[in-house]
Amino acid sequence: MSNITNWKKYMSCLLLCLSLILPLSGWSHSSRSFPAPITDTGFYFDTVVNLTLYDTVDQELTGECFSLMADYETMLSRTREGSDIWNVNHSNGQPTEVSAETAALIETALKYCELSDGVFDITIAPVMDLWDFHETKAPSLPEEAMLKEALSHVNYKKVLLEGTTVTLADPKAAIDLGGIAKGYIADQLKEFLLSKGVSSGLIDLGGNILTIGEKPDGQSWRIGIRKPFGETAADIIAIAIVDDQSMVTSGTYERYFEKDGILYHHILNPENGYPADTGLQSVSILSSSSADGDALSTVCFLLGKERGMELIESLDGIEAMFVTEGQHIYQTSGFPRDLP
Amino acid sequence: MKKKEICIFSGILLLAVLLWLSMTALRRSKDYGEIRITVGGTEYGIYSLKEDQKISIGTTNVCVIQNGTAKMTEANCPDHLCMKQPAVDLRGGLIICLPNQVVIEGISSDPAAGGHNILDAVSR
Repeated sequence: MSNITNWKKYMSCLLLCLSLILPLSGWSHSSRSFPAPITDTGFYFDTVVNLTLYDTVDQELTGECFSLMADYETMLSRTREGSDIWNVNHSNGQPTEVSAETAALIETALKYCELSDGVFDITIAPVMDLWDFHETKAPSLPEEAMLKEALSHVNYKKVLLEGTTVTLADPKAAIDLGGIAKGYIADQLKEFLLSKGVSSGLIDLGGNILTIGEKPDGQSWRIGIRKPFGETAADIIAIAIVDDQSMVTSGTYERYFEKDGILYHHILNPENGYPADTGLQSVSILSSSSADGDALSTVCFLLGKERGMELIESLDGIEAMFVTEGQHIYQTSGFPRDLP
Repeated sequence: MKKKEICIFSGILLLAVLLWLSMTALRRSKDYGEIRITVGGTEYGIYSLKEDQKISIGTTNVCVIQNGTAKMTEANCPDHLCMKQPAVDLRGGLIICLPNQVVIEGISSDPAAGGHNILDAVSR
């Protein structure tokens, strides 16, 4: 009789223990793992777009995003014949009608040209055309005379915007929106996705990261900052904790060539037409709007650490992280950095 | 009697903790990572990073897995930018061949790792 009571006791004890064990062991993972997100990859603007959407089952959404991207590409690409920007650049100084979106983006871009006092200049296109960062086997520098000539047409003040009419006061000037377009488009994609009820997701537009809301488990996104010239793509120099924000990084390692032991990178200084030498390898910007982040990462790179830091501290809701040539990290007061 | 129960109770608990620890360790060690290859946005295949191997991606690109990392070693495009891109591993990363629309993505092979210490994205 007492044996049975003991046995019952042991059994209930065992059950109690099991109920304690189960949540401890592997079973807990099912409750913690995310619902499978919708992911999709597309190619636009000379780069790869990765979309990760949680909390939606609408498989059409990514396709709609990609068709939006295609629309923007046909509007904003400098190299595509018939695009708004192509039309402006080939207008010979005649007033050119552009779409409302293009006009809005030019307006935002001009704001950053002014804010940076021309350190950031969307009319850098003629200078950019003289540099070929794709040719890395036998790279050559632009001819000094040609560079001088091209530089004389770099001046954002020659871009006159009235409503949706753009006029180049210098017919040889040319606009390139590469320093801001990707960020702007990421913002538009986010707005579209929000309007479709997506409240958790990630837009990776060629390394410009824009997060929507928080992760489905309520945690913040963990965004790595690429280590300049790191050996693997996952080599990161820092991790930022991000919620519903954008992280954009501009760095010398993205496109460059080496000649006679000197590294020539793609972030050009509108003052002399050469790669900007500010002692930096990269600048990362945290902001709500990815267009802001895109423009400011270039602006801060061109301004250098001290002046860039000053500028960011003067702006509300924007933080920055600078990586110097010695790979020292400097960050503004509110940069949400986590230990790598 | 009471002592015995406490003994059994704590014994089982200890066992549970040990079991959990070993399971976690086992799961960790099993994660060599994988790469996902996509061509033109559609999945071409998923390959384990555990074993060294050479993968032909259609007729345009070749990727090599060595020591748990993957690199693009051949491409028929003119600029060969993808071959200069850094290797990817289970911690993530992308190798992109734009002309051929080939993407190699490093991924963790552990679905439960979608948690804390893996990055959600890399700003580059």
